[in-house]
Amino acid sequence: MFSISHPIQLVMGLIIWSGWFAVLYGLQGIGCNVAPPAAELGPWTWINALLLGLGACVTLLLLIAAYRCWKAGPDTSATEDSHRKFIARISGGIYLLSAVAAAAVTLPVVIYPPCV
Amino acid sequence: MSELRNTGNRGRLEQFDRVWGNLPGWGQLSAVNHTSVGLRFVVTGMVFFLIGGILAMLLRTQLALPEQDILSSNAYNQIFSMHGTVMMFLFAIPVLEGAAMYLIPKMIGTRDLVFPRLSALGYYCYLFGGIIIVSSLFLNMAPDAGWFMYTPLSGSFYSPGLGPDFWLLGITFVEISAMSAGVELVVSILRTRANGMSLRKMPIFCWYILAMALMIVFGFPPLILGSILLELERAAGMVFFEVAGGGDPLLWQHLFWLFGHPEVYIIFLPGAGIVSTLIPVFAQRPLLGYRWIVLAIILMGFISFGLWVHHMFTVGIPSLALAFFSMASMLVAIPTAIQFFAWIATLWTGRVVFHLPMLWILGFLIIFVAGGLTGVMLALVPFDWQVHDTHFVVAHMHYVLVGGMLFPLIAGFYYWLPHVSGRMPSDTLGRWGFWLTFIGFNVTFLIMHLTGLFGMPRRVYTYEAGLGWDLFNLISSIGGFIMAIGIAAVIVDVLLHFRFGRPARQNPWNADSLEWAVEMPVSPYNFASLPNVPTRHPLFEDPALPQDIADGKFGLADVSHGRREIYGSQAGTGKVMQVIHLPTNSWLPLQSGAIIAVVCLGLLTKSYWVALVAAVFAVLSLLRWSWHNGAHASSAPLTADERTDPPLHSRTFNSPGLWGMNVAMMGNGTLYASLLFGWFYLWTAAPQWQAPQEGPLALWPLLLSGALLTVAALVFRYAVGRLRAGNAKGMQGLFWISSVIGLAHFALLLWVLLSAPLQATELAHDSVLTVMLMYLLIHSGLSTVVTAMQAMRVQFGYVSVRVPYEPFVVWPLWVYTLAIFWLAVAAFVWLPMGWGGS
Repeated sequence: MFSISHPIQLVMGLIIWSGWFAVLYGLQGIGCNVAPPAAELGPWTWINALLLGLGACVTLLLLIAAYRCWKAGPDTSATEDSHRKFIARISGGIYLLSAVAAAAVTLPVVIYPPCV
Repeated sequence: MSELRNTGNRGRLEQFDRVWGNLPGWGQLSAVNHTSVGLRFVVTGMVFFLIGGILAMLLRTQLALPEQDILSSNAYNQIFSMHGTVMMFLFAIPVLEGAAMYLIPKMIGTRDLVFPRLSALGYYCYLFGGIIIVSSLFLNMAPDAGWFMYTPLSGSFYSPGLGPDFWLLGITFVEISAMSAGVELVVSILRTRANGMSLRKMPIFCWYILAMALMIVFGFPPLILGSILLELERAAGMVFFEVAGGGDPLLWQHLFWLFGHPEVYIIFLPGAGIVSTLIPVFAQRPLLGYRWIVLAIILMGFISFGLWVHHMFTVGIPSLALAFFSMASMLVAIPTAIQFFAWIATLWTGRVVFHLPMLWILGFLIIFVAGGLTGVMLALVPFDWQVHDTHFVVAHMHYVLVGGMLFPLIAGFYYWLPHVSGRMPSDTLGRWGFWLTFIGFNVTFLIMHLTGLFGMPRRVYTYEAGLGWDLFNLISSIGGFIMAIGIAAVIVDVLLHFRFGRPARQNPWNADSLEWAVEMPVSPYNFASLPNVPTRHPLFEDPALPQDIADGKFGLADVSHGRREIYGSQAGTGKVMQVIHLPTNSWLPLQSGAIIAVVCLGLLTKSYWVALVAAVFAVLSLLRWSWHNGAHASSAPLTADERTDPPLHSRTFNSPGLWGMNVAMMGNGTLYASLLFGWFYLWTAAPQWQAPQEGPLALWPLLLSGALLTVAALVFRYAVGRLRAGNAKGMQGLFWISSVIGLAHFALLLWVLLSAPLQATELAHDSVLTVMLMYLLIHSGLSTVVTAMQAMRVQFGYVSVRVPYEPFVVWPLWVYTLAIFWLAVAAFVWLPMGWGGS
C-alpha cells in the first residue's frame, strides 16, 4: 500500500486533504466552543496559530509525497512498468494539487478571527 | 438482424440468446440483465422528466404575469417542491445510473454487471418509490417545503400533513436504488474488465462512472440518515432538529448539503463522461490529456465534498469557517477547467464533424461555462449574501444542471440510439429539437439572472406589478415554452426513429470503444467471446474485432454449460484471475422490492404493524436471496470436472461479493460517521443542548455485551483463518458458537436499551443515543443471523474447502460491527464521562 504504484495512492492525497479539511472545520468549531478568544485579537489567536501550524505540516507532507511519486518518471511504453508509472505519475499530480488545496483552505486563518 | 451474425456463428449465438435472454411475457419482470435493467431506468427516468417538465411549465405559466392566481400559493409550493424533487431524485440520478448500467459492461468488454439481481432490485425500489412520491401530487398532499425539506418548516408543527412523509420515506426508498447502483458499478468497473484492460487503458467514461459511483456510496448516506432522523422526529416525536429539546435545525441543513453538493457533481460527472467520450469521436482523434482528465475526475470527486457549507453562507457561521468553504468552492474550478482545456484542445487539433450529438455537446460547452462562472461568483461570500434565495441562484443552478447534465445526456442519447434500436435518428427533426431547446433555455434562464439581481426572491407564487420583474418573467416564461417545444421535438424524433429511422451500419460514428463491437441492436450477452483489450482504442486498432468476437475467437466462447459467465480480473492490471458465474432471471428482486414498498406504505399511513410484518418478510426475502448463491443448485453446484484455469469465483477467497461487501461497508460507515457528526454537532453547537448528569446506559452490562461481541467476532475469525489454510474441520461448530455468542451480545444490548431511562421524545441527547443503539442492534443481529446461515450452508455443502468464498464475504461485516460498537462506546459513554458531562 505504501508503494508509489499502488492504486490507493490515486486517492491518498485527497483523503489526507479531506481529513485535514474536516479537522480544520472541526477544530475551529470546538475551539470556539471551548475557549473562544477575544474578538479584538483578530487572527492573532491560539486557534489560528494551531490551525496554521497544522496546515503547514499537512501541506509539507503532501508535497513530499508528490515529489516521491513524481520521481517515477513518465509512462511512455505499453509495458506493465508503464501501468505502475501511470499510477505513480497521476498520484504525484494529485498529491501536488492536494497540497495546493490544503494550503488554500488554510490560508484564511491569517486573515480572519476564528469565532466572529 | 445484426451484420455480425452469419451461418458460421448463428447456432452458437442462438445458444447464447437462450442462456442470457429474458423470459417471455410477464417473465420480463424477472429480468436481471444489465441491458434490460439499464434501459428500464432510462425510460422510467424520462417519464419522470416529463412529469417534472410539466410542473416547470405550470410554474412558468403562473409567473409569466404579475398577480396571477392560476395556482394558489399552496399548489405553487407543492409544485416547485415536486419539480425539484422529481428532477433531482427521480430523473437526473436514475437516468444517469441507467445509462451507466447499460454502457459500462459493454465498454469494459464483459457481459453483465457483477450483481445483476441487485440492479433489478434497485430498479424496482426506484420505480415503486417514484410512484409513491408522485402519487402525493394527485392526492393533493405533495411536499411543499422545497426539494431540500428544510427544518423547521418540514417539521410536524409547520407541516402537519403527510407531504414531508411522502418525501422522506419515498426518497429513502429510492436511495436504496442509488446505493445499490453505486456498489454495483464500483465493483463491476474494478473487477470485471476485459483481460489486459489496465486502469491506464480504461475508457475515460469508466473513470467518470467509477468516481460517480463512489460519490454515491459516500454522498447519499448523510441524506439517508437525515431523512430517517426527520421521519423519526415527525412520526415518533423524537428530537433532533427542534431547539427546545436540544436539537438544531441547522443539523438538517448540514446533513442535506453533505449529500446535496456532491449530488451536483454526481450528476455532472457522467455528463462530462459523455462529453469526453463523444468529443474525440466527432473530432476524429484520440482524447488529448487523458491523464489530466483522470486527475481532474479524482480531484473533483473529493473536493466537491468540501463545499457543502457554501449552501449555508447566510445561516450565521463565523467568517473564518465561511472562508474555508469559499476557498474550497473556488478550488473546484481547477478540475473543471482542466477538463475544459482538454476538450478544447481535442477539438482544436481534430477535424470536427457536426453530427447531431456534437451539436448538443457544443450547447453543453457554452451553457456549462456560463453556469460555472456564476458558480465562482456565488462562491464569494459577499456576493452570495447579496443574491441568496433570489432567482439568480435559480438561473445559476439550471445553467449548471441543464448544461452539465441534460445537454450531454441528450447528446449521449443520440449517439447511442443506433446501439439500442439499430436505426439512425432524423437529422432534420433532431436539429430543430436542439436549436429550440438551446434558444428556449437561454431565453428562460439568461434573463433570470437579471430577475434575481433585481431582487426577485425564489419560491414566491406571485409578485406585484411594477417591481421591475414583469418583463423578465414574461420573457422567461416564453423561453420556457420554446424549450418545451424543443424537448417535444427530440422526444418525437426518438420515438419515430424506432419505426422510420434508416438502418444503422455497425459502428456508425467510427468510434474506438468496445461498446460498438457488440451486435446492433444489442444482444443480451453483449460479447459472444471476451476479447483481450491491451489498448485504449480497440476498434481503431482492430476494425475486425466485432466479427472476431461474434465468431467466438476469444475467451468464454462456450455456453453449453448453461451458466451466465464473465471474467473476473485484477483491479489494477485487468489480468483475468477467475470466472464469475452470475445469477440468471429471478423473481426475487421484484418480490423484495414489492415487500419493501409495503414497508414504506405502512410507515406512510402509520400502519406500523403492517410495516413491521412487511419488514420481517423483506428480511426473509433477502435472506432467501442470499441462500441462492455459490454452490447452490440454482447457481454453480460442485461438479467432478471443475474449471480450474481460471477457477470459478466461488471457489476462491477473493470474490466480487467480498468487494461488494467492502464497498457497501464504506457507504454504511459514512452513515455511521454522519450520525457521529450529528452527535458532536448537537453537543457543541445546539443552543439548548442538555445532557443528563448521569449516563443513562448501564455501563457494565454494556461493556459485557461488547466483550461478547468481541469473542463472537474472534471465533468467526478463527474459523475463517482455518478455512484459508484449507482446514474446514469443526467449521460448522465454530460458526454456531460465534452465532450463539453474537445472540447473547444482541440480547444483552437490547436489555441495555430497554432498561435505560431514555427520554427520547424529550431530549435530543437521548434521541441520538437511542438511534445509535438501534443501529448497533441491527448490525449485531445481522451478523448473528448470517453467521447462523453460514453454519447451515456448511451442513448443505454450500460452504467448504472447495467453496470457501462466503465466510470471507461475511467477515468484513463482523469487523464493521465490532468497530462501530467500540467507537460508539467511546463517543457516547467514555468521552462524555471524561468531559464531565453524561
